[in-house]
Amino acid sequence: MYKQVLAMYNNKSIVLGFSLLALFILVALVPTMFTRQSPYTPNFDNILAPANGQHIFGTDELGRDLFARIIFGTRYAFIVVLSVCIVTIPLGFTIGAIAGYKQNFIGNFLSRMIDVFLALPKLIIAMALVASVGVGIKNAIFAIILTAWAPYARLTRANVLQLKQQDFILVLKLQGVSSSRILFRFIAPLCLSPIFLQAFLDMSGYILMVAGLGFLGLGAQPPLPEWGSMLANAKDYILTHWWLITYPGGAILLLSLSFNLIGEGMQSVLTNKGF
Amino acid sequence: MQLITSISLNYKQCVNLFIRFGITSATLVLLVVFLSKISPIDSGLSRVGDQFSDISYQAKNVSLKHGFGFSLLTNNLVLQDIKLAMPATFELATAAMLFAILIGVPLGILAAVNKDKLLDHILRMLCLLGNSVSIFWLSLMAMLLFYAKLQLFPAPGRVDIAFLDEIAQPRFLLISSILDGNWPLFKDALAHIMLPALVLGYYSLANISRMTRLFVLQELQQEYVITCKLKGMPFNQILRRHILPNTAIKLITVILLSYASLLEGSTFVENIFMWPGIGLYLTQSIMVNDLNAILACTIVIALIFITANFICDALYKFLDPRVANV
Repeated sequence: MYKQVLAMYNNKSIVLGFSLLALFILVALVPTMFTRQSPYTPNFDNILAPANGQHIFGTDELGRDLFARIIFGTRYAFIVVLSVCIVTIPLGFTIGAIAGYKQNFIGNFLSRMIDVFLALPKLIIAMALVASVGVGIKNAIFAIILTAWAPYARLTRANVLQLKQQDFILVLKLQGVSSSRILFRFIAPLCLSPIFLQAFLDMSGYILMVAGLGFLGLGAQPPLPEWGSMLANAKDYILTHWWLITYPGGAILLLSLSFNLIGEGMQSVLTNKGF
Repeated sequence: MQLITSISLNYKQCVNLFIRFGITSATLVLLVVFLSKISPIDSGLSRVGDQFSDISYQAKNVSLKHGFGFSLLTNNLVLQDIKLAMPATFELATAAMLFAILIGVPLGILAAVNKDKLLDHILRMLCLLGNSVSIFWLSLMAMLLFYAKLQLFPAPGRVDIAFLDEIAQPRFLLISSILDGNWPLFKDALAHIMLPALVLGYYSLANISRMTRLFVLQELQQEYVITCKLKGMPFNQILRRHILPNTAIKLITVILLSYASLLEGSTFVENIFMWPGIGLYLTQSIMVNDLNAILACTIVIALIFITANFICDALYKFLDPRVANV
């Protein structure tokens, strides 16, 4: 354990990723530390202004400070990632564990369900769901969750299938330990590290997906400063006002890059493969 | 005897694959039907006036027999619209895929051969960025840079306004213009497809080059490579004669899968580059809350995706018997 932590500390991409992520977390927790401007107050005297001393990223089509909007938008990205992870990881783990451990009808059915949801195109399903049920950031999160649990379930199922043939599980069974206790007390801790690795690799995907939904007008609705919907508004000004699309997209890129850096680094430390 | 058991195993696996394909498609259709039932959007009520009585009935009948109902956007049958849009999407996806393969595969091989050297690190950064960037932002930036600032590429769209009549029918513009010998049209279409195809290609380039690198590295560790080295075979020849054919099998499945996921990615690229494919149709239908078109596009895109997945699985097991017998 200590060795692994040390190896992670020595891995450049993990350190870089974590420092970027820490900065973003700080921004999400105390946005007022970074800007004095309000992300909502319009200023019609100062519409579409380029970067200047007062507005370091310029202003948008309603004269709102772009930098402040990006800063306050960080929060929404984290809300999405956290709420998706909080639901999908336990859900995926439970389904995967039962699918791997039980050899009966339920287990087979859940295994099939995992395969089905892995084979569905995530983005299109999410788009269809939000577009037909109703737009908004809550529905967007729900739409991501609908398919996002499947990779965790597959991973857990594969792990459980391997682990349940080990001798110590047989010993536990002989001692009369109930199967739910075996699963959650003894098998679960052994499955955790690959699941967290998968989570870090998937998190950037959630960010990109919610930004994409926002870009199509399906995610967060105006005036919420969500990065994807900011880009959707900025699309009309692409030929004349470059800063409106460059900065919010750059923020998306940096945040998902930090997750990917951590994921890649952890992969190379934990499994010795990775890139 | 050994042979017979392995064949029967394959047969069982084929049936399994088909069952999975069937269940997945059925789940997709069920999901879409469920969405259409719970949706607050009433495709009949969104039409008003004299059209209401007859068309609204058909608009509610989202079945294949009724061509998925009518589209609010074009007033045509949705199925007709999709038929018109599909060739454009396939043309764009194919051009993007060609670009991704032509650049990605050599890049992956070079990176594997020069492991942990400069080229490998460059590729690593490229892949990281490719996984982290949102495709619609990349499209917007490409448009900003190459169209607005540098003016290297023509305006968004599939062809110039002068050739608009040419895209009224569903067809592959690049191929048919060559067949007709219509060179001005071909040049125009080629100029228009370049930028979206480059952006979309980058989306799968990361994946393809990364997998190529991984497969070549896996092969390099095999013992037959050592044998070849021992008998004095030049490294280039080992690569060409032994390693590349072995990786090609696995690469085909990766390429097919990326091709299917390109359809997803092309939704955004088409929206930004005004490429009249199924992605643009879907996003524009989303803008006007046209439930028929949204759900029909979902079914079509998802079915293509699922089918590609299925073919991939089957192909992988068929081409690599070692996988089939696991």
